[in-house]
Amino acid sequence: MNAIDRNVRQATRKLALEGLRVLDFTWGGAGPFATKVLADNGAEVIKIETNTHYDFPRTMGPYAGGIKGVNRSAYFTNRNSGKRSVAINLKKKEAVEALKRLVPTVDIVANNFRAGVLEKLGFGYQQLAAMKPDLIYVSMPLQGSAGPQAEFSGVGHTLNVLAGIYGVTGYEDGALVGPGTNYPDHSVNPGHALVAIMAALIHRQRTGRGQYIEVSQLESTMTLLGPDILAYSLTRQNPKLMGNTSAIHAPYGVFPAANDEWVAIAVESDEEWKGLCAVALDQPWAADPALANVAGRLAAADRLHEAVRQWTRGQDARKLMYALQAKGVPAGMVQNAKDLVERDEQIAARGAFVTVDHPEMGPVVYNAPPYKLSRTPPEIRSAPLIGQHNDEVMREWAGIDAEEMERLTSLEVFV
Amino acid sequence: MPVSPPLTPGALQGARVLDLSDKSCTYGAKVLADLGADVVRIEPVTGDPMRQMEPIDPVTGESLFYRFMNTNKRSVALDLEQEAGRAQFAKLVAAADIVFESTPPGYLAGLGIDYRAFEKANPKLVWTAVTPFGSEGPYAHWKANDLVSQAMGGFMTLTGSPQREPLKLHGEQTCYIAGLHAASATLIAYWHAVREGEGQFVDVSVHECIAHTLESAIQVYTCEGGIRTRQPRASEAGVGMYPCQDGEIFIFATSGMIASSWRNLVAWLREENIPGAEQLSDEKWTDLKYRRTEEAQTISRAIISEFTKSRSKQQLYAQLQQRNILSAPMCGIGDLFDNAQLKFLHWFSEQPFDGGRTICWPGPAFRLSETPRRDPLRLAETGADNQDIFGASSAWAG
Repeated sequence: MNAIDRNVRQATRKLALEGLRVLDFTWGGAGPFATKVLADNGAEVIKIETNTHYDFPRTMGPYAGGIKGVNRSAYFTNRNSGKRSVAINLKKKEAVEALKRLVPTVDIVANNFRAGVLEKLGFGYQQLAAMKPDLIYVSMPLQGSAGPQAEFSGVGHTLNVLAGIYGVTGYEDGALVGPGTNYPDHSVNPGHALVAIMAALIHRQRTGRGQYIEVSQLESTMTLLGPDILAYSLTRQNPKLMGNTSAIHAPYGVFPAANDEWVAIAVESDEEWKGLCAVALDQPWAADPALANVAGRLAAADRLHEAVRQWTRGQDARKLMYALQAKGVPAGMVQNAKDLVERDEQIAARGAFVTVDHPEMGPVVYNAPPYKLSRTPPEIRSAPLIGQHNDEVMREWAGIDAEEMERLTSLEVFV
Repeated sequence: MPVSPPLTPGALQGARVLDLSDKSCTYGAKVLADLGADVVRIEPVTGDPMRQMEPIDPVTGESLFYRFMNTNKRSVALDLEQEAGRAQFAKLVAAADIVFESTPPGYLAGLGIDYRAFEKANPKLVWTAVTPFGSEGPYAHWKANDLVSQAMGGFMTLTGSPQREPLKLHGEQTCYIAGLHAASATLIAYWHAVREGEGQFVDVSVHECIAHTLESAIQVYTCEGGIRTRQPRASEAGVGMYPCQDGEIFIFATSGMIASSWRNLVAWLREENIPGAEQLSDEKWTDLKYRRTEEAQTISRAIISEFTKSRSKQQLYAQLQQRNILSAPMCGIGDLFDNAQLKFLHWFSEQPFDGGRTICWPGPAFRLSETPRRDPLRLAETGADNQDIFGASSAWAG
């Protein structure tokens, strides 16, 4: 299969979501990471933001060249590629009226506010569906739109704890550390919002009907522990912490290498064990017949893991990874961002990071979509400056003329 | 029309999906099934290796990973290494809208049953191939699994104790991360097929999916030259697990992103006359460098713990929230069933399992007002649906 060649030869150069328009109230991490995919695939995504209360990734960096500025955050750009920005102060009624003129032209409205916030501004589902009956409206409240804790607030780290992920993130001796990132913001929550939006679009195409989508970030995140929830309901036991090890395979884990680097080795079959032994020819354990089958290796797991550690310590992690993979052993060094950007040949060959010019930041590195679409390849375009598209969107799309724009501007609507 | 079982109308009703995905991404196929697609799982005649995956019910020996991922699908057992099996597979592909597979790159091409073999006859077909590193490139034939993917993709370097080895997240997280990217890419391509009549090949790299889940680590390096490593959240004053009467509470009162949590917490501690609380108002506590010192962590921990230890976890959670202090009660898996919000939302549902036992299902990951997800009802035995699917009245019969 040569998908990249096919891109060049046969692509229609049309993006899959061209012609769709999105009014995007999402902010922070999780929401914008969903709607940016719609933009990368060709939808016109209008990001609604304001200088009176910045979308917080604009103020938290990393910043281009390390220099602070609301138009300089790469945390922001990576979550807002290809969007158009309208800076508007929705606390003013003229702003609400102006923005509502866009509603009949949009297909999708997205937000991740706490329950009730947009309703108060007049942009709730019922209010907008009255103006655009086949609207697809997605809300991503933290814990649903009703209930005793619906108005509680949180971030990815608190969600890790509340959803039970923290409680299973630890070493095999029981030491809990929790995930090092706001994990759900970058994985399931945008992912679930996106599949739901796409399914609703397909349903609308077939039936003409829009709908309301709710992605409660708590519900969405708990899905990550689905099998453990089923197991607990039958056994009343929390899963045993395994750290990086396996209950059914050995050797299996993360082993030290030279220069404070680490390499993961995961032998899942006798065949792969033979591959490991072929690389570790000079090691006594490689010739031990007691270790030739999985039962023997599991019985000797502690001793075996210590022996493998002694063997890997001092070796170059990258060279060892290449040597093991050449023999069919699942193995990979623990890479950091520098490794991925500069030394990972696969990432380079597939163009998994792309550099796009930004009007203020200069060249900015983005994650490309982690997939290739052979006939409608998505495209990363620059994230916007705050308010960069006020004029284009309000004049051309909302049909507000120059005089009216002037009046609204004098009322400080577009800030 | 579907033959059996009757499908609840869903957003993807009528979409026919062939599922040959494994533990690297099969969550994506589950999502398609939950959305109402007619998902037919192709299993080897010897049974799916995923049926052995942990966690296992000690009574029946059944894999609960398999059950979670595969209810509401149908199962066809085929031997793709045999000509007859391949001919049957070709029939199914001819009637399919989507193929969602994760066989090694080149494996199906070697059998003459890859996308290229079918795209002319079925031009609307969306074929999604999920592979550890993508279908081509220098590592395309390398092997990976959850551990290796979390290591190489840059995810593991962000979790764990600095004094110990980097740590992977529990529970086949790669399957969810890659599965969701694969499902969304599939639906983007399917939307294009429905609208324009043009199918395509969707080439998903698990490695790239993980490298897409690193928060801002890539940009921290490319913009500022910094390399993020593992640092538990609790390495700052005001952040971490604090003891309660009946467990622990996580407080996230940072000085950074949402500094109001720290200010509100200190104000509350002072109102309650907690010994030492007034010193936390000192200017130095707004400096992240100071907050990360051993001294700052020790002092603040003693003061905050003095306050938390006499209260219950749920009482504290509600009070912290009322005062706008980011927080969450520590939850083991068992505690999740007692979450008041999830009870209110009827998120868990009891379903019959075996004998007298019931099994408690997680609720939907998202809710669609017009097209709710299907209840997780049926789990097909290997090959249970061969007859129906290949029967004359099947929608798959062409």
